[in-house]
Amino acid sequence: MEEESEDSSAKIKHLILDILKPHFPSIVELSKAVVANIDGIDKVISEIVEMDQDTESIKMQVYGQHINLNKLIRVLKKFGASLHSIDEVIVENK
Amino acid sequence: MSIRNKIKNIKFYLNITKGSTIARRYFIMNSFDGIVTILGVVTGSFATNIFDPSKILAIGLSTALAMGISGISGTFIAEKTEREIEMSKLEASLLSDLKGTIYAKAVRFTVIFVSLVDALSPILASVIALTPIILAYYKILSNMIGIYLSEVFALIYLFILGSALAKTLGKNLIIEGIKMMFIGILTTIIIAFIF
Repeated sequence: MEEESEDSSAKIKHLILDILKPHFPSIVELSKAVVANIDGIDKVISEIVEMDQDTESIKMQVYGQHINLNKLIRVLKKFGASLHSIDEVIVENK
Repeated sequence: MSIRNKIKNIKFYLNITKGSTIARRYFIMNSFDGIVTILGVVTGSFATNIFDPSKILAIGLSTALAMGISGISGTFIAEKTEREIEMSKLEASLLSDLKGTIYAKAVRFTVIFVSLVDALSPILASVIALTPIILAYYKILSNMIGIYLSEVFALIYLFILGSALAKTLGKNLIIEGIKMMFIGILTTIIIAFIF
């Protein structure tokens, strides 16, 4: 991901992510891990939008002062979740 | 990592794979197998006039060990295969590789954990039932009392097993305990009549 290295003053403040994950670990455990393991994230709101036999799609809203997207993707991957799309992003230059 | 964190991790892994339910099932099933087998060994020895504790112990403990080895190898192979199939299915649904994820670690841990439970449960049950025979071997109890007490220990263990199962299912502890104990009594009677 180049966006963070290209302009260090541009900080990601908010993200809405579309994630596909197994049923376990649950969204509670995944959300807690995102907040606990990544600096610069203050709040995570996760909701299940679709449930299949083996997987579930979740919408995750991430709030923070300086969200490290690469680290976030790594934590998601560690929990067996895959990022489908970034549906919304707020980047601020301060 | 502290012990508390390790326990937390174990609980987390077992929660992901629902491993505690599988382990409980294996524990009850194999403890039952172990205890009924030992009941058979002790009753068979008594019925065929073998009162020597060293002989009963040799047969009983080697049977327990064989059950343990059969348990660990059989369960490891079966669980590993089942879990690999399950993980491949999940990977196909996710369209991603789960290698190196917490899910893969949880699966690996669960396979080892349930295999150990499967192996140790009949050994534990057998050793408990054979304790009076061990005491008879060291001349703390007489041979006959050792044999009788061993039967009693096995039946009590069956009762506890039945009650534990009843607690999980929310059933009557005493009734389920007696039901389990009845199977032990029936085994003893059948063997005593045959031999």
